[in-house]
Amino acid sequence: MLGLGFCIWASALVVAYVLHSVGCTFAWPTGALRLSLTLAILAHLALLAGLWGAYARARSGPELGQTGSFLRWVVVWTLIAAFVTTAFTLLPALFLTTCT
Amino acid sequence: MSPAMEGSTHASPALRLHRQLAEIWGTGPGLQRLAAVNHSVIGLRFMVTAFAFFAIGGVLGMLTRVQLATPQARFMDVETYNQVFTMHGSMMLFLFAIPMLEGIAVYLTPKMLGTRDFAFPRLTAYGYWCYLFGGAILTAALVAGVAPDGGWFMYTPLSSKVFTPGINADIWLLGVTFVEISALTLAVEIIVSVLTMRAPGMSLDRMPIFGWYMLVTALMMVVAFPPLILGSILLETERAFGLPFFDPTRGGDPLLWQHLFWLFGHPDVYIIFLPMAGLLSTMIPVFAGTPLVGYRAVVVAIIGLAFVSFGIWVHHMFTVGIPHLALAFFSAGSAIVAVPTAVQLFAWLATLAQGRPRWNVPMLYIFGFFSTFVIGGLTGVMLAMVPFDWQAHDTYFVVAHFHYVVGGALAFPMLAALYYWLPLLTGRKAVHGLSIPAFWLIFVGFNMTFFLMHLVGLLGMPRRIYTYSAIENWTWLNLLSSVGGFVMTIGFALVVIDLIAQLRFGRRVRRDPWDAATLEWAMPIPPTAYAFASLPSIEARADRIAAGALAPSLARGEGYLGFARNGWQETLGVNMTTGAPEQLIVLARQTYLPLWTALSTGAAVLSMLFHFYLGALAMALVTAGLFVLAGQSAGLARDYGPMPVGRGVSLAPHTESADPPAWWALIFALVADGTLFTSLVFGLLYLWISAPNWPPAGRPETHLLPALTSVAALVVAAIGARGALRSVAAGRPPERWIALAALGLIAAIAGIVVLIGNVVPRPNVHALGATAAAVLAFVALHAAIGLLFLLSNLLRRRSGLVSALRRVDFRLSRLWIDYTTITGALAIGLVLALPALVDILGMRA
Repeated sequence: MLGLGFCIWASALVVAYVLHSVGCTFAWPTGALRLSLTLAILAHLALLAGLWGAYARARSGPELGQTGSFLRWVVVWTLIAAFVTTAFTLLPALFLTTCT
Repeated sequence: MSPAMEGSTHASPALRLHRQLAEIWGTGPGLQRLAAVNHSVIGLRFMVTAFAFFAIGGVLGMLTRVQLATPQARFMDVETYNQVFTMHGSMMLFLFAIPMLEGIAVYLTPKMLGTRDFAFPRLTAYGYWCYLFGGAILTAALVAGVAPDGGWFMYTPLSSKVFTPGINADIWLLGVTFVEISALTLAVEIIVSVLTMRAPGMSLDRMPIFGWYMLVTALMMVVAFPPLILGSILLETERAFGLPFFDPTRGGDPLLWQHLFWLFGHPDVYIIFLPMAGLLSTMIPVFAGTPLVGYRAVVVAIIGLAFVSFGIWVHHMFTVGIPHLALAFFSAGSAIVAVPTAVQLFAWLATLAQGRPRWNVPMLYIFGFFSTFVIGGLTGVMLAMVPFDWQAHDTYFVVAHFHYVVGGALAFPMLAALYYWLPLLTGRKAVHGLSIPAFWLIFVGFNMTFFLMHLVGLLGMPRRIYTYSAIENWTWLNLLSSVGGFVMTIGFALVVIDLIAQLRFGRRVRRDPWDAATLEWAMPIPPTAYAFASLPSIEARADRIAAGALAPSLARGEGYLGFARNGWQETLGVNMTTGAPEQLIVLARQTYLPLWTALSTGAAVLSMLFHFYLGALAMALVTAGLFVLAGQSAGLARDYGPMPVGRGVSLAPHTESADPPAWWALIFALVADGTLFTSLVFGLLYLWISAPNWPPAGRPETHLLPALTSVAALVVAAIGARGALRSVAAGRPPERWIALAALGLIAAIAGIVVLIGNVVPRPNVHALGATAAAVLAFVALHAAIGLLFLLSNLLRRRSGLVSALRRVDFRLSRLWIDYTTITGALAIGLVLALPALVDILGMRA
């Protein structure tokens, strides 16, 4: 679970890059391409936000003790970091021209 | 201090235990040294060999500086210069930087984690020999004047057969791939060892921060190296057999090479940086006299850095014509990667601010690290901005940037670590008469050499030119840069003299001379082959222990496994998360097999280099046979059940465990293999969507019968592997199931050979056929390796190494064949989909 947040970020990057390549190669209309990119990125952000909330509320099992608390803290903060990274790296680019 | 030097009250038990363990773990004299598998011996060999290649690479760097010191210099001709700068970069990256971090990891990681060795000592030795032979091939080529000459990243089409017709590029592709085998084997070994072989009680939150760094670095290596290995294989097959993966006239694309190379190349910078950051995170708290500030934040930063470093490979390709929107993804990623790096820097600064730093030679180099790495990091952020990169791309500004990053990230922490751990390595105290002037010469020389390159780069000097004219105003900057290079070299020469002086004249030192807080100081120095006479029980963070105080009780055997048994090399396996002891791991003893196996691997590589492909195939089979043979001397020949391991705990040996190290090793090896497979599929789809001259002239044909037969045969093999495992678990003979699995694999190979034979367009005509054949060959190769698994199962069962309790061999075979079946179905499905994919291209804009 320690890498979950950034796996989702990686998925967002790959999906956005592939959608953009396919859209430009097959001459999708600009609006459709931009919309599909936006939806894909927002879906990943929503997933990250949902997991962030879920892990922030969760309590680690008593059998893991301090180790459980440590791992939960790391998972929550990797999710937060991945959320910020996804938003920062992918969203602003949507305001640029699509295929030039 | 040897156990003989412990206090007199406890000298006898400690000395007796020392003699017993040294007899079991020690490496023999003379030629027996070639059979060494001990992590201290192999780690030291890695470091010394890497330093030798660093010296060669450094001399090559100096030769380039002599050539560039003045305009129109005739010191070297262009052909020689191309070989010299290519080998300088290749040696520094592939033969120095990565192996040096591997050597440090091999030497230090088990000691810091409180265990006696890595999980697979023979694999460590094999990795070392592969590295040495691969490096020797590259060095011999340099001496023979046929060294690689296409730059250290071997861009196509320059490195393709048309433009590099000799064997220069082949030497790079085969030699570097050979070395990469070493890196991958060690990466798997580090992951498994860190996860499963820590000291009892060392839960993940108690692990020293260096353990986290090495774990993340090794995971990065497992994912980063396969794209480069794949790229090298594809380029070598293009050069040798004319398969046009990178030839745009036949449906290939040179940019595919750049993608594959930088998918490795960019994370590689962080693969080099992270272990050094781990060393810094270990040393700085010692000199600050206070624990590392922000341990948990640093763990998050390491994980974030590892992932983000993969997502920014395209920032090396900003000038190749990628649309703005996609460039922005990678530009933003390249900027934000500075954040987790900065988290670590601020953690170190906060640690220094919180403590009372004491100045010593390692701290001088840490200071050198801070100043150079920050400059390198900031110029990295500048280059992450697309408009600036377009101006500075392929100029000396980039050369300056990456020397600051790699120099700052590697050289300064490496030298700090050298002086910090020198007493551990040698048992002698550093004498700092030469160390301090050596530091200042290196620091001043480094900045003089590389800072000026920023300026000459901004004045427009392109990298890789072998000379220039006087009218461009680059002369003085280049001359001063070259002078700086010589100053730096004098500094490194002083370091070498200093080391020799300390080895010869240094005073014997007490244990734990720095008052350190990590476990490597809780052992005799220099370390014995068994590292710890008994294993510590960890009850708090393992980078806050009183190492010097703990050492005597461990030497007396008061921890776990404080005894010798059956002549076994014993250590403990623990729960990955909690660190609770779970299994008794019995490690393999010294053997010449790693040497012979690496020699046969090297013979296969050399045969390919000289286009003697039958010989290469024969040597590959010998190598495979030696691996199977190695299996005959691993494990235990009978069931033992739980055995006492000390402190009132009894554990079964790893051979009877549900999750022995071999199980995890195969899982992480498959992660690496899966990355290679994914990269191959990416390559096919990338060419489909981006390469010129698509679609090919002839429409691909579908051969449904052999395709479906192959998939069905793989499913049969998977059923056979399951049946064999069930039979062994129930105590029944598994031979019939093994035969079924073998037949399935053979049928699958036959079907795939038919498919490859019928690929249209032919593999040497168009990249579509070449990539389809490559994907299918991947499956056939894995099915053939599956046969080796089954052969090993049969032999080991007949040798009594397998029983209902000791059945991990059959689990490994099942996992491998399951993986082959899944990737086989995907690969064959993709080949069947090719006609449809080509039809879709008709809708392209």
